[in-house]
Amino acid sequence: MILAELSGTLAGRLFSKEKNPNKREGCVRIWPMSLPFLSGFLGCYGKVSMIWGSVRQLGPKRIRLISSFFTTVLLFVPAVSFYFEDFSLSALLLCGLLLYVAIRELDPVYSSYMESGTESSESFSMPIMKPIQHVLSERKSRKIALFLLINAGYMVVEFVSSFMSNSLGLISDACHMLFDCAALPIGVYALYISRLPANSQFNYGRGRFDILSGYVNAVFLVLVGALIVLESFERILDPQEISTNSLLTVSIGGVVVNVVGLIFFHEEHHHAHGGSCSHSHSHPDSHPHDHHHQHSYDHGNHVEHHEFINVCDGCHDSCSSHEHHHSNQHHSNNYHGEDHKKHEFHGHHDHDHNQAPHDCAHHHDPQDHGRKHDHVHSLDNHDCVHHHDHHDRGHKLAHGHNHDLHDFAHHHDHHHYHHDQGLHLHSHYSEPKGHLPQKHKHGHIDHNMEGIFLHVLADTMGSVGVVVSTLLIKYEGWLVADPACSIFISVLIISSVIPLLRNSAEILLQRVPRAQEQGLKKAISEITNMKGVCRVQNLHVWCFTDSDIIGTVHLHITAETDKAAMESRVSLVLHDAGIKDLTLQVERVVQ
Amino acid sequence: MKSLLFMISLNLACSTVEFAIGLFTGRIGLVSDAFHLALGSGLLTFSLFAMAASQRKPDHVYTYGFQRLNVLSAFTNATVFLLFMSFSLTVEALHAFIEDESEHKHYLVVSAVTNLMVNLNGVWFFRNYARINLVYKKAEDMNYHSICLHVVADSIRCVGLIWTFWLLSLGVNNAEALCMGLVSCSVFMLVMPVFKASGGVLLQMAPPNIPSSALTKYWEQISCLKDVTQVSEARFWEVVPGHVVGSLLLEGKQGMDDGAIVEYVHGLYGDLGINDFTVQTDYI
Repeated sequence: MILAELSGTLAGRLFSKEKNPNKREGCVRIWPMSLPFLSGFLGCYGKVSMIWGSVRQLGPKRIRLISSFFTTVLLFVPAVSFYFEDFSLSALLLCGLLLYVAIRELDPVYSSYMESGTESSESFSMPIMKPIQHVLSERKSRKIALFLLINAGYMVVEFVSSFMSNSLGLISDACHMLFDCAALPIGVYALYISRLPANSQFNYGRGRFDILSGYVNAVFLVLVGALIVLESFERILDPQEISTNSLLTVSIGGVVVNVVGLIFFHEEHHHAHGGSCSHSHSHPDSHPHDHHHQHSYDHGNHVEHHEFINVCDGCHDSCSSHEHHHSNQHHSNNYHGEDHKKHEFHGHHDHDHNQAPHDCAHHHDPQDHGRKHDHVHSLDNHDCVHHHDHHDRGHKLAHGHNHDLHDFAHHHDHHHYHHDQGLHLHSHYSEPKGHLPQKHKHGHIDHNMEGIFLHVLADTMGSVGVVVSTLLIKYEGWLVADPACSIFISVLIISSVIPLLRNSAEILLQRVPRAQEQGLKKAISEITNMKGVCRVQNLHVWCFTDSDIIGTVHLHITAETDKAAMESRVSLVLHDAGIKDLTLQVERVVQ
Repeated sequence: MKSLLFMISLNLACSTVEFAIGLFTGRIGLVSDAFHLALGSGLLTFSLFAMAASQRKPDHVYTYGFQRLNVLSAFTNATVFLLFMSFSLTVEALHAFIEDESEHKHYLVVSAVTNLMVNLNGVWFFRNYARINLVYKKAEDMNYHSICLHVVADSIRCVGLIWTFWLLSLGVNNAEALCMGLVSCSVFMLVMPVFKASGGVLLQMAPPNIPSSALTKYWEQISCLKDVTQVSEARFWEVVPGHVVGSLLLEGKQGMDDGAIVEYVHGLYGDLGINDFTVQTDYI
């Protein structure tokens, strides 16, 4: 966005100065120059397991020296070429490629990561092919890749037409899309990375990359928003000339593409609930395998949900939260483009706690209060009913679905022991009595996808804002509309990002997951009251990813108790509280 | 901590003064510079908050305490600098290059010089941490290191600005693009190690200072104990640099003396410095 703003200002200034011959070159220069840095950052984010056999013999330190030398040298090449008015595009692209390679080599973490436990491959293209193969093998990620292609295609179209017409608005919109195209592959790659198995360096696996990339995205968006606010202030103080000729058509085109993107993610999200009643989804296949992937993509747009997820927290015992949810929903639904207005309740995915037979567990549908274990999603006016059965502790799954439209096996196998990016984590409880579906783990946001979604959302809002301000400027002549709209939109963006920021920060800080807090307290008190237990010590519960909850605890028991039985009882209780990965140390103490 | 507070207030004071002057004289460059300063001090405030908050005792939700805030703030500082400063400086360089005219007006030299003074002051406060690669012994080390690098990067940027003005006055045409490009590259390479180290801790990587050969050796030692059939799920990670947590799963035959074995295992890993250890013993 800052690139867009800056290029907007610069192109505007170019216009005003009437430096006609320079314009073409100016526009041409933006794109290739940003490409090296784009690729550099992609390289940094993407952990490529590439080993150059011959280069490796030199030793890592030497490689670093050489690559840093290359970096500095290569920076001077474009600098030198700047002195000549007509420089070659190809030289810059080459420079960009070499910079990318150099930065990758520069990175000891990645080099050591390469050495430890990943398959070595001599070919250069392997590390690019493997994730691509992985991406293509799953239907959902194929869709994301498709959207990325659409976006990139439209961006190229915009760049070309902007060069031909030298329009300010087109350039800035094209830069918008560039940013979008940058965020998407990063997210997809992070998804790929988090699937890789655990090794000696990453003992729990690489699931944390997701959270970290979500956090970085959130920080980035906050900063971009702040910067835009600042630039808007500057603009207010020093108003700039804005040409609105082709801006309207372009920004409307941009809005269309972005809304397509939102629909894509929204679709995914709908699939998760199996009820895309209003969309005509022609996806009849069932995925026995791809659940985790689906889920990771599905909950891209949980930003607003998060808000009421936290509200939900307190709704265990009161049904009055009904109002909460609806009001929250509507509020958050404003963020969505026009299309989403109909999906009023689409915010609520099963993120309600159903502790006891509360009717308010399903805040979705006022008419249809599902009972204990049913989460009823009513999307639009349909009752696409999902019945998730949460009974099966043994298999950690078994969610029955009655989907009329789809026969996805999505929600089965929700819980993969390790890499469940999963958003719907219905934690299984073996109900102590009868069929009470127990806690729902909510707050499962796939941080990575949410970060990406927020990027797309921010872009959409930016385009919408541009349209609005263009109209205002054109028909009312209020030049102040442009910065005012920017400020308003960036405030919206920042406020939508803050939940993601907070949630990912909490996970990174090893906090007990909010969803499990209450259940955990009860479990601990239950354990402490058990016969034979002296003390529970050193209890540490934390999230590895949104869905993996890990706990360690030391249990002190009296000398007479049967260790094995006590151990199994305690681990049962803790498993039911949601801790899937438990290490329990039992010690006998003499009283 | 007091030094950080002093620095932040100094930054904010400079920024407000610049903002006021910019408004009165109508010079937008000063206003935008003031905003950038304010943004920087916002980031420093976050680090200050992390420093203060990390002293709190662990409670029932933050079971490992708040020390990790230091790591998080170091990571945020590093990300912001890596992602943001290098990138935006590059964009500014591009901007200046394309326009064939420097965006920074000449009156900005004064602000650059004052900024430089403030930052050098900050570097002096944190001079112990003014290195690129640092061994982190405690949690606060990371935070202080990142703050120091923040200030160093800012001063490099000011030096770059001053150099730009000087070169421009000498008549070198694309001085700004060159200098800003250099500054962004150097800032990038400066901050990379902190970024990776803090990122590694946050990603639950195995502690880098404990060689994996030692861990393998201990694994084998434990497997060889009497009645132990299998050792699995040995996982180690760092809460903060210096505080390593580990867990292990042991399976053994009935009749295994688990009290003694647990003590032995604790002793083994305690030698490595891993005091927070949990061993689960199961009978097959």
